[in-house]
Amino acid sequence: MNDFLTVIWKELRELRSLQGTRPGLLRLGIVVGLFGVVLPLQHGPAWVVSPASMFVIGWLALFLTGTVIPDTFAGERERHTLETLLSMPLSDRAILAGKTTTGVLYGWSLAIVAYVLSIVALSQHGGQGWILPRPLFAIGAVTMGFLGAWLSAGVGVLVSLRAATARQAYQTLNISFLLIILVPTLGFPLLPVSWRRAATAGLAGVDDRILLLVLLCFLFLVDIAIAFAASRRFQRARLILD
Amino acid sequence: MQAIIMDQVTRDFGPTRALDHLNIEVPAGIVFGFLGPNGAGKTTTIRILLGLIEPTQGRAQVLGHDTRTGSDWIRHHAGALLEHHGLYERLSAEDNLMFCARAHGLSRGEARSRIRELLDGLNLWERRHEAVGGWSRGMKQKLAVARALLPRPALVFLDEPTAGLDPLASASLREVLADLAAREGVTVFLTTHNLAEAEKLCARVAVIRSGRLVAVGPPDELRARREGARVEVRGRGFEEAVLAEVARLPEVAGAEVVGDVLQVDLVEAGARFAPVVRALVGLGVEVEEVCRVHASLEEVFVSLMEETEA
Repeated sequence: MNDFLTVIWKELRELRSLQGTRPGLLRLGIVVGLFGVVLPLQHGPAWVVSPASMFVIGWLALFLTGTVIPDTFAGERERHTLETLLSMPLSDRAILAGKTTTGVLYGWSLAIVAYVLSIVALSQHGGQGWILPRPLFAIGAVTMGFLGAWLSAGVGVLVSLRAATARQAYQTLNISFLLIILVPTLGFPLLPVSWRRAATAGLAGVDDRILLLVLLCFLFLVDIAIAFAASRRFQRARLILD
Repeated sequence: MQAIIMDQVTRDFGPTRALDHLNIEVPAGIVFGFLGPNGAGKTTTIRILLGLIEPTQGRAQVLGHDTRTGSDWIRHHAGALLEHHGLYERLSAEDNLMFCARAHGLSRGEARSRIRELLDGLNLWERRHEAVGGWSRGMKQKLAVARALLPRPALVFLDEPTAGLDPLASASLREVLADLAAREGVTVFLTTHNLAEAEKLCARVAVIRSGRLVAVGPPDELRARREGARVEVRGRGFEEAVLAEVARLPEVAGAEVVGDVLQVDLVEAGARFAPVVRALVGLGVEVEEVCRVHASLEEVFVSLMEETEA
């Protein structure tokens, strides 16, 4: 546990030194302000009360985690600190879990801040009391944010373990996410009409709680599989010789 | 007691053999120099000793623990300054050391007092809050040495700690190393290209080339093997014909004139030089001074490299 907390401590210090600068804070302010104030006010209460809010928070957490996670191993390799890190008495699991957790905490917490901010902004703007999402959607948004951040961290770590430089890791991760988003978006209209109708009808008939649970379980399993793949890929000798 | 034992250690990277049946023993409590040209296998040796990679054949023990099965224990009890200083440049000096202290399980109070002690000793305490990215290379190397010594390791690996430093910074870091190593009483495994540095710091040295051990022993002993193998003659009349005659003598391996000095390499360190002097006088050379040259470790190293190449 000490190893795990030590890695998180170091990663948070590095994040602070990177994001704590004026340009870093400005970038964060713009993203949180955009998703916490500007877009909610443009879209109105639907931003927080519709089921889409869960996906927005999930995507935001995924995106924010993706801005820091590729640097974890590829950045260390590029800055020649990886071998020193690996020569320290820290367990493999602690290094991997510490880096992943820091990325998740970063993306998830900022996404939650933006979510809370959107509720406050819409409520203040409307002037008719609090505009609150259904508890199911609120829980769904928070969970989706966590799983989205975890997905991004898992894929990002896998990419980062292989990449020679942080830039290469960022590019590969962006392409991966583009494919994840584009394949279903472009692929669904290509399905036969009868299949699409059946899918839509089938989904319409399902209780939204069940649908949400299935979706979250699916994401959870994907996250677990990716975390397992990352732990298999993480080998000190391989990382050094790469 | 031996701090390090390498027994027939071999490491292959695909078709390339980086280490070839390496046998080394490093007694505890000394500065041990590990010398060799680029690509000789020095860094691979350190990686194996730290348990970061495994040998293909043979076994290595560090502080009594096998590098295959006890790598965690070894990393806990050994400090390391590897090829690159490995400092987090965005973090302050204090944070860099604190990370290392936490990784080694030092308590907060213990870590703070140790960091103060080391940074004070290196004249870096006043700058502890600065991000190290803005520091000179010499200061970073000093800090990296401090990090390696922070957990009071029984053994510390230093991979070319003075590489890329200017002579002043090198001398300063050498002083720091010698002082800290003596005070802390640790075993230091030092790889370096700087043979003068090895001569000054090391109680024993090993020379490797292409992954093979070429020589091992105290620097004095290695020098003694070459001691007296070269003789310098000061005088006048070193004509081409004289050189050719001298080179034909059975005691002589080679001869050349550098300025007004005739340098004669004998076939072996113990060879008699009187017949050469007699011959020189007989050939009409005015001999003013004759002296045997004391070999430096650098000359020993170069001759070892030439011998192995041959």
